Amino acid sequence: MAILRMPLWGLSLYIVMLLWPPSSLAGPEKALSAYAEMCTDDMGKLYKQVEALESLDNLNNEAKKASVSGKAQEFINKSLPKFKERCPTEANSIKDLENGHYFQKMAAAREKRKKARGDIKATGDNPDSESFEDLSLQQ
Amino acid sequence: MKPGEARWAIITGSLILAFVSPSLLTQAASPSTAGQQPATAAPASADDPVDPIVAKFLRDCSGKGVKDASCDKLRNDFVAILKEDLLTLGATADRQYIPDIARIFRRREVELRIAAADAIGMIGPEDSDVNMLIPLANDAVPDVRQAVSLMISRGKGSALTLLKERTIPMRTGRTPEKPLDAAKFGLPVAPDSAYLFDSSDAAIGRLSYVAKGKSDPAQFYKAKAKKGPFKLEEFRQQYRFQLQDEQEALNQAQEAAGNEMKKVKPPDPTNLQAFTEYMEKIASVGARQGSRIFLDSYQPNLFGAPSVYILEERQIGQRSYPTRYVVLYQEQAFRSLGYRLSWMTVPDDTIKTAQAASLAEEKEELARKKEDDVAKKRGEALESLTKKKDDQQKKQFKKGQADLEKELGF
Repeated sequence: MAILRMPLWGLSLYIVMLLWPPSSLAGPEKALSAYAEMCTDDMGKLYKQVEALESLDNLNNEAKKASVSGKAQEFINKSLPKFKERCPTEANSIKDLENGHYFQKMAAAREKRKKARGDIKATGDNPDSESFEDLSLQQ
Repeated sequence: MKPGEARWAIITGSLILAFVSPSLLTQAASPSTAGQQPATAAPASADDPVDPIVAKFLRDCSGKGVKDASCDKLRNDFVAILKEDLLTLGATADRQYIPDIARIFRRREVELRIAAADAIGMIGPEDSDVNMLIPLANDAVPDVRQAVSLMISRGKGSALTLLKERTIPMRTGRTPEKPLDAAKFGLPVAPDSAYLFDSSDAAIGRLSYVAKGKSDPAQFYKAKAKKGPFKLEEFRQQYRFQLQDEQEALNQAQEAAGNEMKKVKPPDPTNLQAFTEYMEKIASVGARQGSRIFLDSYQPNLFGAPSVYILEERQIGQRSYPTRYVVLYQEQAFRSLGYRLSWMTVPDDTIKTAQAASLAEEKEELARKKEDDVAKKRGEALESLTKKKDDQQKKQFKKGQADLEKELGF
């Protein structure tokens, strides 16, 4: 019986392939557009993952006061070739991930936020409003 | 490629794509971060860098009484840097920055307070922020209040919706307003009260306050009251002719002011300042009436069930008027007790003029009421007469029946 199962499974797959809905055949453009959409979605996810990992790396490195964590780079090394293989048309769009410019951009944005927060905290620590008394409704 | 081959190629390709899903790829590469949100903001740190210009300004030019000429130039740079900083933090849409940004409202620079309101609006406040946002809605500068109102409208939640409904900015401008002195209008202010800018306007005879902490203004006004407490509706009913006279007198005053405005030749529109002032004057005539109606509306969702204490009642012409009174209520949006001091702003003569018409109306109403009473009494008498007659007829019928039964020997 077990000997019979394999050819039966193969036959079923063959029938499924033959009876595959012709809609995907009827419009190759439709299939291509779905493929392009999938690549764009994929790329978005890729960037989000890199961003999350880079933030995590940064937190780890700041805590340890050393550049020891590089999960984002590891992730890029692993997933970029796969992505490029699947979506060769998007290869140009992810150049900044390959050449490290995206990391620089993220680091610059983080520095800008840190500086902004520093300025705002320092300013908030120096209240001098004349209308301060009127703000104390809940006190 | 033959059509048959193309078909097989697409089927095979689709199968491969279906099996090798994008999420599978990314998750395989980073199992530790699956489902993790991007962390855009750095945690709070005591050693966040401070811009040298900001640091210098805060050190040398901040605080009261500093009048250094070099500070003026520095102040412009300081404000520009901080505005950019606020935009940066606002754009992150990260709620962790809200408390730091809110502290900017303690600065005297109006532009910074407006930029801070915009930044919090960009982040999107929530109901949990409402206690922090309430005081900001009562900034002394009208334009800041406008910005805060816009900020609140960008938030989500029922408490914020209520706050938005309660804080309707009435004025514009960058000059700080000062709380008006109620004593000048012969009205006492309860201790531990905060003045509410947008709910106060001496021109229409309304000054509003909220009680700070747990103080109860009702106890204070109870001791000072000539009459009351009344429920608001009860007060409105009892003094309806007086309030109507006051409204009529205000309408007449508004009409007179409008006629005066018509007499004045409008300034040349090229003289922007004079023309703006002229237009503002025209607008203010109508706006006052609207703001009075708004302040006297006391919607239950915002003010609960208000009560009224009359602080002064005065005879004008043939009627006694509540010329000074206080309306006490629950400030639902501010989560506190509140009160509004109200006084008559129209001169007695105008009231007397309005009174002449309303007296006739009151007489008519009294006569109508009398007629109604007479008709009602007549109706009642008629009803009782009919009832009596019915009873008599019933009795007579019963007696007749009994007699007949007797005669027949039952």
